[in-house]
Amino acid sequence: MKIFRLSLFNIKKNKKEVIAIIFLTFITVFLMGGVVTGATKMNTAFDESFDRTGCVTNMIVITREKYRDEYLGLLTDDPNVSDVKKNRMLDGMTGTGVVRDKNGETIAYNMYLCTEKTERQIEDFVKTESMSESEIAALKHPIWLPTPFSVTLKYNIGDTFTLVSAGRDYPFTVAGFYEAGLLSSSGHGYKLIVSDEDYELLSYNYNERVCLSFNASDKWDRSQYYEKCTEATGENISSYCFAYYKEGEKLIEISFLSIFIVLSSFLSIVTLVAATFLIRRKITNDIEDQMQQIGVLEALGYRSGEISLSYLYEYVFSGGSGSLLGCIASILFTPVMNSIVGTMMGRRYHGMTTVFGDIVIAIIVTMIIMGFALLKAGAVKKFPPVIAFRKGIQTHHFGKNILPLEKHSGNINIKLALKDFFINYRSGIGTGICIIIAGAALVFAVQMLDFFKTGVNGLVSLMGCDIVETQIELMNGVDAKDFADEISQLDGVRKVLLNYGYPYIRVKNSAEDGTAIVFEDFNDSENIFTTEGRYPEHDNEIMISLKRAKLEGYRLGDSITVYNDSIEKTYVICGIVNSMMNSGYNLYLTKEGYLRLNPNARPGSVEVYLDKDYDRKKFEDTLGEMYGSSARDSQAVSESDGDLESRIRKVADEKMAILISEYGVTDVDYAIYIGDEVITGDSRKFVIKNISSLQDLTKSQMEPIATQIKGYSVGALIFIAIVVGVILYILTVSNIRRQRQALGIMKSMGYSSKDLMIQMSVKFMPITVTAAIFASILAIFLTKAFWLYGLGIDMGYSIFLIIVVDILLIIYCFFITYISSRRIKKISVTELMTE
Amino acid sequence: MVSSILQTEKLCKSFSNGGMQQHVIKNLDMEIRKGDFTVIMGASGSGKSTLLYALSGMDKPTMGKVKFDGREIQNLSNDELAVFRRGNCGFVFQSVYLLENQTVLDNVLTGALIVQKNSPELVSKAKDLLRKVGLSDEDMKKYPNQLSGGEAQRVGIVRAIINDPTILFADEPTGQLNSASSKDVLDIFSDIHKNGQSIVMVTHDLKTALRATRVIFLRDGGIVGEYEMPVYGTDDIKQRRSDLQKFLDEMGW
Repeated sequence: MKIFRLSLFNIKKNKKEVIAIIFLTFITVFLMGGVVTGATKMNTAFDESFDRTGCVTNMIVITREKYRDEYLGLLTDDPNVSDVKKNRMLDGMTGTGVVRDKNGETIAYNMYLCTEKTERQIEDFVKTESMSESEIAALKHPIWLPTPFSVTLKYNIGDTFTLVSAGRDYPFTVAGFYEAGLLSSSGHGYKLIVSDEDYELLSYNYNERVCLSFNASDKWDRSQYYEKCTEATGENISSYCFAYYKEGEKLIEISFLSIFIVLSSFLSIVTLVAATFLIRRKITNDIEDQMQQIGVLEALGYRSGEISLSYLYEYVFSGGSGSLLGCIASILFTPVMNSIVGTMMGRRYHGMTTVFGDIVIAIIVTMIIMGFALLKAGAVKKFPPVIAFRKGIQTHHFGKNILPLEKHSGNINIKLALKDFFINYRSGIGTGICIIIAGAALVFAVQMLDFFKTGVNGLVSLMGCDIVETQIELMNGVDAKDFADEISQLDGVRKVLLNYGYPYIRVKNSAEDGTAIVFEDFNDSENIFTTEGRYPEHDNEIMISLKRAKLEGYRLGDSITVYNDSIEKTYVICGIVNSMMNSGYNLYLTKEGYLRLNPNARPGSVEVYLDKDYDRKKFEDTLGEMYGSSARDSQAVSESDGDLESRIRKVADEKMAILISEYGVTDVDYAIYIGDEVITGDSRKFVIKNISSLQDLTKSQMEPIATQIKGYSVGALIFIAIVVGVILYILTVSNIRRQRQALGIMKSMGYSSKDLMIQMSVKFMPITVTAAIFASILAIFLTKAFWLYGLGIDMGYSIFLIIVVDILLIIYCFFITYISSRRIKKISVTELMTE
Repeated sequence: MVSSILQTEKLCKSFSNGGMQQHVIKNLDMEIRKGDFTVIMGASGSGKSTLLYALSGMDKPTMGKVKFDGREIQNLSNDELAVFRRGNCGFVFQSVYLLENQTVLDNVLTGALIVQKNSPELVSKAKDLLRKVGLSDEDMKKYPNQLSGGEAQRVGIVRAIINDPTILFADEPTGQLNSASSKDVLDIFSDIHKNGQSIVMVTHDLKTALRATRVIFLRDGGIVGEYEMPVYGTDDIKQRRSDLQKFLDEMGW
């Protein structure tokens, strides 16, 4: 009973420290619960959602004119494949899926458009929200959107959803939202469902694709299928198809959620270390304070083990209370966590509360704290009664006189503070560890914040390809070089480069195809950065992405064999590149290098680099004035004004445009007889096939993610600042309590409260500065590891930024300890003398 | 005529005790003269220590004035009082209160360096003073817990006088010492006094009081009697003891 009372006494005496430990334990369990459940839910949320949709596991979307029936046949005949269906979809990918947002601005999404019939061939069309049947029937142009438009992009039923194509707005009314298995992410694109009539109308605006959907077992191998396709047709299907599959969709949806998990893990480790450190410190202080009482108890016959138990009871209370509160909070937080997971993934998620997981975490954390407390409380054994009565002779300093005042120069407060620090440096180790971990988390969060401070620009810089303002796809037969030379003279144009259309090529012994990024001279590129080696200069050189290098074990100087259709060529790897684009599997070749692989390749488009801040719309208007409408824009001319001849010419233009852009026709001539009159024309008037902006598309994909990560990083910064503040406050207050007598003596000698507050703050500085340096080094390693293993890129870091963060951290620590030392003002010399 | 360096006017000091005001010092007028060795005596609870703290600027009076060399100090802020104490007051405590993590020499220099810049002269002065009170160069490197009570108190005295304070205040400096150590410490006080140092000391010990030139007796927060003596060592010690005893008996001590 006496032992239990000692515990209660300790709790009552040091309420603020007990509250701090409860707080830190609470946060630890809460965050760990979040991390574990988040990581679990990250997987289950996708799987559950996917399973609900009844979606097939694979889709292959092929350019219509390149589709061959053999592709379907090979799937149908494959015993590892079932439920094979062939459907049609309209392609709004690579910048062509333009939508007018609620502010009237255009924004590009990767998207496909299909009918309900096609949707039901692919999956069960599981609606999450819907208008009533009668309401839908009354709609002129209904559209069904996948859940990310509701969960992440905040569209509501009844909203107007406007597609922008061929210079026209096509307003739809959102009839409802549905859960999509595949094609439910900004990365892979979305699948939008429209009525049969609207599909037909829009088919004039968007290229139609053939979609093969099917379920495949684990034994099915995509690359083998592609090889069989090539064998059967002599054509490389992978060059003109997109493959969508369950694991790929999952990977892309959870990749950024992992950033949150890593940050939360950091934070939970910070709080756990802080809590255990505070416990260690508190027990040491308590034992010193209660030395004589310990001596009395031992003299009365209590064993040191029993006395140690008094400290254990205390932490059963404080650690247990914090863990219990954290566990309850974590359980209550489940709907919010579901919402976060859902928002990040763009899926509705109503996962079960992970009560068991939260309880296990709470128990583990409590056990860690109790174990730590018991270990530290074992120090009681070191004090048999006689020593305890003498207040523990071991606690006095008999060592070398560090920084003797005899040799003092400069400020006495700083000297005394440093002297005290070096004498008690051991007690600073725990503080240092806390600051190292907190500081590392801080630097990590600041780097994230810095990276995302300009929205998506940071991510864009890691794409591994130039994200240009405007891409102009040219008509067949148009000389891209001449065209490039012409428009490079236009106002606002900084640079024009030829583009080979990002063809897919296959890599020998690799399941991952790669997009070929082709430049005549890579020095013209602006967003391709090597982590090792250099740009390709010769036709036998290639650069590969860092992700491929790491996962497939390639190094500089190695050879890599790639295929295009039946042509196989080997290249020497001369450089490794950071690349997030196309899942980070890009391949980089010079024009000559690519021509070895595809001798008939001709640049089909140009990439236009505009001057900074130059209005893209103005540039596109200038293009229109010079070259007329693009073929795509001419496809959908519906009602024409003017006389009969001009109306006929417009219809003829429309038909030519469809032939050219949809069926690969290169030249069209027409002659139309109207009575005695002949109206003639040809397709030479078309130069531009399509204009798109990869920059817009990238922004629409990445902006929400960047915003969320930025927000979370700010939250993490505030959180870490609070935790560091709490730790330093408790340590400072604890130091003041321990040194109350010494501080009183100093006051009696004429040291003012301000002098002593400065001393108290300066005492933390050596360990803070050292810890900040170690924290920075740790943060650099952790950040690099995170980007490399998380996203397959080598992330640079700014030494300047890290130094600034370190300085701010040090100033913050000084400020907190200085403010926390205000208690010194309350110390009265007279109280000491009357004790 | 000996000048006054410290005066009080209507000095009051009260403490709140469970909602009740306890008046420890009541309308006290007194003065401390330069060069005097003043001893304040009285029964327990008479307000001796409270008066000492109020006089030395360690504590603020509830009412009244404290003038130190003509400067009123009762309204100074705590930090202003700290600065005031640096140059004017030295303190010797009953429990010594040395800084445990610092050597003997550093304890002395810690008190000095807040007032003076470090110099070879200052270090020499500290060492000389320590030697004078009987501590060897070896002792100067020791930590407080390696010293005897008497040795520690001698360090405390050196620390208090290192800045040549206007007044040296001492609160029962021999209260925790054995008789031999007490005598050594008191001899040091007497020597310092003979060198012109003004001293104000609180004690309830007759042997200590014998060293004074002036004894003030307190009862219930007010001065009820004063007794003056010649400088210690210049008169007959037995007669001195007898006269002081007689005074104290009259005071009901």
